[in-house]
This record gives sequence, structure tokens and C-alpha cells, in this order.
Amino acid sequence: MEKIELKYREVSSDLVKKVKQEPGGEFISRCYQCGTCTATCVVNPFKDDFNPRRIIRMAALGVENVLDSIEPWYCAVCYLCTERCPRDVKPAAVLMAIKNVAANEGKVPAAFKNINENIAKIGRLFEIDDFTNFMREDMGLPPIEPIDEEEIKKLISGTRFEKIIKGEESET
Amino acid sequence: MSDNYLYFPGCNIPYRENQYELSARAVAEKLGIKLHDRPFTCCGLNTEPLDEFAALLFSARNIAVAEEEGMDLVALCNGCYKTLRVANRKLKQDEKLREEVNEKLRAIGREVKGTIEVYHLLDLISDRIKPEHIVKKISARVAPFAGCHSSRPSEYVDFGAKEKLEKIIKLAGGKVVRYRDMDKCCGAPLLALSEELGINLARQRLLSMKERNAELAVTMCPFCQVSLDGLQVKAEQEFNESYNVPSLYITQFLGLAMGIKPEKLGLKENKKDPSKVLKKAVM
Repeated sequence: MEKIELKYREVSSDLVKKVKQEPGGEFISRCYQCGTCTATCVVNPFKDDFNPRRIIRMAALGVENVLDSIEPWYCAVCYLCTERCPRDVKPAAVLMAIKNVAANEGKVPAAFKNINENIAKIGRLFEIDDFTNFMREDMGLPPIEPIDEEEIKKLISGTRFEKIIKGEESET
Repeated sequence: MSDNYLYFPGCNIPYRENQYELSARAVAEKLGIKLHDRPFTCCGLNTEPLDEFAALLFSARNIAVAEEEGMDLVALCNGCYKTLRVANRKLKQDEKLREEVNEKLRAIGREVKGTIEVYHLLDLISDRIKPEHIVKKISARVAPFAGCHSSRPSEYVDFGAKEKLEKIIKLAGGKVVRYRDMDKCCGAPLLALSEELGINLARQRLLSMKERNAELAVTMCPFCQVSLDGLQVKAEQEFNESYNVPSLYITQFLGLAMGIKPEKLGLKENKKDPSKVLKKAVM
């Protein structure tokens, strides 16, 4: 998962189509590469290979290895770029759409997969165990009740999310 | 104005930031806001990068629970607030999407009809707080940190969080300090991938607060607080610097001014000890 390279053999028009089909990815083709998103970005000054303008360009060109790169996952989703984009591309949403396309093909960084394994099972990011509830009681707070795990299972049944967590992503 | 709300705890607060909930409940009670509890899942935020539709299902499930109870939802976390607010609006506006979601919800015996609203607690506090509630003044230079998801994306999230946060700080006797990049990310969302990046962003905010001689920071989100409070201690060690801007939740800050006892506000749970500056400032 290094810097995205432009490999012409791996360019496909399908990628843009896929991104546009995701919620938030609709406006990728509006982008005229002004770079306001990257100039605004809080992550870019500390990590210059996180460059939203470049990632969006690569995806718009259909460079498939955008999906193999960890770059889109570094977005803090702070929406500053979305507020300032003069073309209303909604760059944070476009990056989210790119991540959704990658995830659907089984390409999820471990950190993101791990936290979602918890959510798929117990419905929450962290398990609230007896000890935590005991501490809460000590502070005078009511206990956090567990969620019925069957309910979570049924809720996500048949979704792409369920397949991603089970490792049964669609082959492309 | 209804007084009964369903409290949405989210994942972070009950796990590691219980002082926010404790102080929020204490302040809410004094202002006549009644918070009710039900078991809720994650708001959906953490699932968005993998599958936005599944994320929406989590939001919708929680919204449906609130509708069943006939109460509006109130969140303390900016992330939960934004996620539920956006989902609620989309589900109300987009009939096709709502039907698609309800098809899934029916499997768990629930349904979203579009009958409730989602609020951030700060919004409710701001509507109810009056000068007569303030019994102590906190005379300190205070850096407000409203965070991102209390005001962005503004297409969906727009209750004037920054102005309301400043209004409450002033009412409590604080002097509001404006500083460089005050509306930028705290760094917390990056911690999952890179602690180094997260700390670097937190450090930038702390440095610009220090540049303006802020004595306290005030937050309204557990992620922002983890950055400005917990990471402040780490960054001071790692960069061998001293920022000295202890961070309080707005409900802890306001609670002190309302005369609520410090132990009812969980001040001991804060990582960067605020007691020195509070001893001087609270009168």
C-alpha cells in the first residue's frame, strides 16, 4: 500500500462508475483539480502522500490501484474540504465512496476491519463489561445494557457489511 | 419545548469518558432536561468507510427505538450527533431510501416513520441556561473547541455550535480566546491508523491555544477531549513541551459555574489536572 502509481494497463472506466454508484460519490466528475481540498486538508501537511486532489484525480481517471492504496483511509472526515470545494464535489464523501468500493472488494485496512468486527457482533465499538458498569455505578451512572446480538445479526444480514466482516467479498 | 429526551451514549463515553456523561446529567437535571435511557448500538459512524448503507441501518435502528418511545434523541458526542442527524434527515426526505431501510428494519420488528428529531445537548443547554443559573464565575482565558461534526457538513449540521459554546463560556464568566485553526480537526479520528498523526494534529491545536495564552480549553465531544486532554499529556512528554491548557467538557465547566460539586462533575477523571487553574479562577 504505497503511493498510487499511474499504471495505464490498470485503467478502467468501471471504477468511476462504481464510485458514482456509492452514496456521496455522485459528483466526482465535477472536479476541475483546483486543489482547494488539499490546500484545506489538515492531514496533508503531516503526510504529503495523503492528497485528496490526487486521489480523486486517479479515481476519475479509472486508476484501479487507488483501491489497493491505504491513502484514502487517512481522511479524517472533518469535512473542511467539503465546505470549501468550489465545485461542490464533496471530496470527503467521494473518498468515502472510494473506500466503500475498496471494502466491497475486500480491501480494508486491519484497523478499520477490527473495530467493525466488534460492531458487527456486539453492536458497539467497545464492549462495556461488568467492570466498566461497576465503575459507572460507583460514579452514580446507570448501567449500559448489552444489545441483543441476534438483533444485530438480523439487522446486517444480507448487507455488504456482513460479507466484508465474514471475508466473503465479491470477486472482481 | 419538551423536557424528556432519550440520551444517546455512543461508544466512547461509557467506555472511557464517563465524566462527560456524569457532568451532562448533573447540568441537565438542574436545567429541567430529563434524560431517559435505552440500549443503543453504535451510531453508525465507524461503519461508514466500509459500507454506508449498513452504517445507515445502525443509525436507523436507533432512530426507530427513539420513535417507539416517542422522544427526541440527544447526543453528547459530535460524531454520534452528526451521524444520527444526517441519517434522520435523509430518512425523512428520501422516501425511497426510507423504504429500503425499513425493509431491513422489519426483520428486527422496527420501522422509521420520521417522527423524531436529533439534538446535541449543547443546543438544549443553550436554550435553557439563564444568568440566574450562574452562581460562580470562572475568570479564566478559555479556548473553545467546538470540533468538526458539531458544525460540518453544514448542509445537515447547523445549530450554531460555535456561537452557543462561546455564549455559555462567557455567561459562566470566562474570557473567550480565539486562536489559529480553531475550527480544525483535533486529530482523534486518525488515531486508529496512526497515533503519530493524531498527536501531531492535537499538538497544533494546543500550540495555537498556548500562543494566545489560553488557561483552559473547553470541548463538547469525547473525541476532541481525548485529543486535547489525554494526548496533551502524551505530547508534552514526546515533544518535551509544555502547553498547560487543561481541557474540560462544557458540562464540567458550566457545572462548576452553576455551583455543582466537582465530584458530581467527574473532574478527577480528566488526564491533564485542571485543579491549579480552577483554584485560581473559580470565584
